[in-house]
Amino acid sequence: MKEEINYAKKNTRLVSKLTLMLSVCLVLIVFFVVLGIVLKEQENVAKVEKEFSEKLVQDKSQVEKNASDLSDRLILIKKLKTERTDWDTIFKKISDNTPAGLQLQSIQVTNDAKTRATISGIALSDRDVVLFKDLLSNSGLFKYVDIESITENGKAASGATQKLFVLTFTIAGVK
Amino acid sequence: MNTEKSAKRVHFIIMAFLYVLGLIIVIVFFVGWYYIYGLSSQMSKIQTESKYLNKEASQLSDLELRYNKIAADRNMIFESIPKDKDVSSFIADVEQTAKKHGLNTTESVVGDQKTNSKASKQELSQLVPKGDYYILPIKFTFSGSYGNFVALVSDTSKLRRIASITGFDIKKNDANTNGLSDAITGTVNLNIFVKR
Repeated sequence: MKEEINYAKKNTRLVSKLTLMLSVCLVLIVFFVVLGIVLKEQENVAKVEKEFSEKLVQDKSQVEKNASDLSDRLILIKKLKTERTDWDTIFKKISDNTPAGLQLQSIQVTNDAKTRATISGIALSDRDVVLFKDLLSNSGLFKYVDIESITENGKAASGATQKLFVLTFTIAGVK
Repeated sequence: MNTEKSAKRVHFIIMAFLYVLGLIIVIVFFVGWYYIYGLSSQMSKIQTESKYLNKEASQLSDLELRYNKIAADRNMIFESIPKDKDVSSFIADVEQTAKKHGLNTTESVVGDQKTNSKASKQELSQLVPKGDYYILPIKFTFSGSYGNFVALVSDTSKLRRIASITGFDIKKNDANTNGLSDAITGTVNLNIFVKR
């Protein structure tokens, strides 16, 4: 009888413990569920914010592409401008170095280094042609100036014999 | 005696329940903690990404502002090297400049007159690919005075579209006339450029 009473007491205590632990378990479950719901909600908000930002970046990325294209064009313009041949100087040098008694008939120039430039004209003497050749050579812009031909070409109004000449040369510094 | 046995059994059952419940509590704690930790990490990752994207968007917004500010210069640059051939407007520009200098444009030849069999699109025909751009060669022939021709050559750098002269051929129209200021026929070979 005494033993039974002891067990009854022990069991009562155990039941109280069981109830307490059950409560703890429930509290824990409720806590995690509530926390989970809150965090999930926050995660959803963060996801929406991220999607919005992604869309914003996607929209704006077109600007980046355009800016990159603009930058490429600017680089290209700079490159092309740098590579341009200074024709003004070439014209000026030819004009400045043409002796007075010489008339130019044709000029063929190209910026291709493999193609030599050609100048033809009429001079009153061979000496004028040689002078023209020397002046061009010393101008600093033309190199390998060669007289290709000098041929008689009728008479000038003064009665002097005219010489038709052809010079070829290379423009220095042309790529 | 039987009552004692049943009391013992009840005792053991309750004890077993207690252990199982303890185990369940431990499992609930760890599973819950793991779930919350995962969720929190995921959220933190999303928030960091979102923050980075916002920063990027903000930088792009600044870029957009600056890009819009240079609208006039931008259009000028786009006209300098367009993405299409648009030869007609360039020829019109050159003819107008030539006219301004008292020159008459007698011929305009577009391309190198060779069939470009590699061209896959109409807008790519006549174009010569070079790096990240195309070259379109054009030959112009003018008649007028030498001085005006030189002035026109000089003015090609002022054209809206970038043009690079590759060479020219000047011939006096009448070999018997004197001086370079007389009538000439001048041919200019130049390249215009198309952005890829």
